[in-house]
Amino acid sequence: MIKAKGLKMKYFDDGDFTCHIKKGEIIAITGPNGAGKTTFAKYLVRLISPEENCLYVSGLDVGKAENEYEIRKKTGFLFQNPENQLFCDTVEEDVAFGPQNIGIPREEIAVRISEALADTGLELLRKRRIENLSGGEKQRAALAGVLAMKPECIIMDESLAMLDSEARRNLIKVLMEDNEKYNTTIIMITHRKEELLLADRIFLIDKGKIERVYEKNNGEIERYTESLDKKIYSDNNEIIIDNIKKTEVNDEKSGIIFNKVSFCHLDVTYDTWKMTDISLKINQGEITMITGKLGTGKTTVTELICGILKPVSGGVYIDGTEAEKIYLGKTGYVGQFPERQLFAETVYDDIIFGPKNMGLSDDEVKIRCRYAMELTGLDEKLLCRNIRTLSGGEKRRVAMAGILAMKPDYIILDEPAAGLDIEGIAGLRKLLILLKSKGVTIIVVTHDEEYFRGCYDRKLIFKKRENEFYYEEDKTCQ
Amino acid sequence: MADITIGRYYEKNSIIHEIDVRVKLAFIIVYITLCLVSVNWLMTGFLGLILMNLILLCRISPKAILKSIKNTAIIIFIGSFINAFTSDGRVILDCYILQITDTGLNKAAFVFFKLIFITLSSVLFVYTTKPMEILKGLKTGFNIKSEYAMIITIAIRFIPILSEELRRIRMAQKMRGLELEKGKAVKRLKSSVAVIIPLFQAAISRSEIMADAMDVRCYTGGEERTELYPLKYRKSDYMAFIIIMLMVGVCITIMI
Repeated sequence: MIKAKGLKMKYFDDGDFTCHIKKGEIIAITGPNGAGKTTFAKYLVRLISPEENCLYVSGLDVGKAENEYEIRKKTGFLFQNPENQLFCDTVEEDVAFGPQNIGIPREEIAVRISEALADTGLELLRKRRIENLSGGEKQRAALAGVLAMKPECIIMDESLAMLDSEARRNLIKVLMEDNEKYNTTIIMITHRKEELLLADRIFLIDKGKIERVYEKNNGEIERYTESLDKKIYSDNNEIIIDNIKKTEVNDEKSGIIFNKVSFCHLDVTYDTWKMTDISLKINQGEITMITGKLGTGKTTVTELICGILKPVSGGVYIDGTEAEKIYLGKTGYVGQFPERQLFAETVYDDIIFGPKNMGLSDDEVKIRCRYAMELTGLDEKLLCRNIRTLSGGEKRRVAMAGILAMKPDYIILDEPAAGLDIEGIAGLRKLLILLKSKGVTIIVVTHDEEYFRGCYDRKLIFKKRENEFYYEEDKTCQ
Repeated sequence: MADITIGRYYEKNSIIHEIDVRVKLAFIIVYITLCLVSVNWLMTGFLGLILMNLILLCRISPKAILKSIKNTAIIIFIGSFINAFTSDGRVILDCYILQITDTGLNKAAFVFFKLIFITLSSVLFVYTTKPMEILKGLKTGFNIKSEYAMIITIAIRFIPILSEELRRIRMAQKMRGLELEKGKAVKRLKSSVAVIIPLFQAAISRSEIMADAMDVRCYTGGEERTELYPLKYRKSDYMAFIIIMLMVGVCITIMI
């Protein structure tokens, strides 16, 4: 199916990426950020063109431009964010998009749509408009669009990363069934244990070449995933035990308090979501994890805490003050993919943006900057570097530093594990524990619960009943 | 950004929704032309009546439609009110140099209603037609190359994505002390950089991914694409065509 011989990855000098993937195999590709995983995936569908005679897909030389169309007919590609790969109005039309492009007759398209929707369990949503789908349904619709092309090989570039665990399981089931039914080759880029365990072989890629191959047959895969677990969960326990500063004042007013908050939200599709009389206390000095499916009001809660939204009735109080009247720097917010919020020229300019707005003196600003860089493990040499020249991981840390430099008492992180590799996740866990030891209250909004195992104090699960949001506390995890 | 009307389609089951998009496009063009050339109140009134009927027929709450043009209506009002000062006629109100005349007031109201009808009819079209249908209509009805039609559809698809992105960026920068609402214009312009740069970066990177996603699904922009539901005229569409002709007929009679 796929043969690579001495393939040279873009941005790397020497070309010795060699592999042979048989039809029907399930391959997981893993490795640190910037190792060339996505580049390899993009080579396979000629989104980037490799050199000639290095890479063959179904016997076609990917290096030759004239093979492009044929290769793309035979390979399906699922991107990370379903929003970026759905172009049409309804599920049915979007599934038809690919087959229409390759000029398949109308009657046949209708058959293919029915099959693809049946395989993905979306039959009932055939005429549904894309914007009215949930996140998991969107990704399944995107997969249906891929399946309707009847590909010999499906490539997934962290396609499950943005989904909650239930949606992830659903999608994996569809893929495994397709693999069994049509002997489709599946290549998935992932860090996640549950997906790695499905693979026949795992390619560990680093610096543009295959560092190691783990095979299912001799239990190597299990051993490998266990070693990953160790890497993630081996936090510096000594920090937790020794240095934790127990919050002295944990009286009634301290912490974040939702006092009978009601909120009504009118979204794009003119559906109303409601929250009625939510009461909640987030204790000072704890790490609270907020989970739940997409669209269950997690974002609304963070916006209420940040004072961006105002409750219709009731109030949100932080240490006794209303959330919208809180002074700058009391709460810090790290959004999803925070690196996308960087805007200044140099690292220094971006980090000091917050502290400067707080009206701190120049000396204090400099101290804060150094403090934040130390926390996030950034080298001081980077201070004057242009942000555009940084790697993805460094950008993320600069964005985090920009918020930590404001020394917030409360910090909210929205999907902080998104796009991080194993090293990054281990680093994030360490940072959270370090911040906790300094008395910072942390709220993590995430669906990657397993990555934060053992480092949070409370877990709140947000749910939706009809049009109403509510939450439950998971007491089992304590 | 939240109340953008472009690309917002209301799913309803009505005759207006059912009518072939090419007929609707033809109607819009004819209707707007008639509004522009309208010479008297009778004709404008007649056009208003037609529009009212259509709004009632499409089963979308008239309130929602009227609400969506609220801001536009204010601009149109200010624009057309200038007419009240600049015409001759009997002076009704005299304030220093500016004089409001009766013919002026009449003219202002006339222009106002014409423009409002044009706006309302376009809103109605967008609300009752799926963006992808508009694409098909432009392609087959007006022989626009499918590539250009695709560009238009994707642009429409991008609006909600970008407004979501903007909301996120604004929130993040606001939490870092960015003040967009306060201060002098120059200062505000300067601080908007913190939002605009990330927004542009997001737009570029997302459009790159989108282009890749279209590529891998074999989109070439070629004409050999098949259509799942090709446009087909039905009886009701011919009826609608006759109604459009009648409308033009009545208007011409009024004008003569």
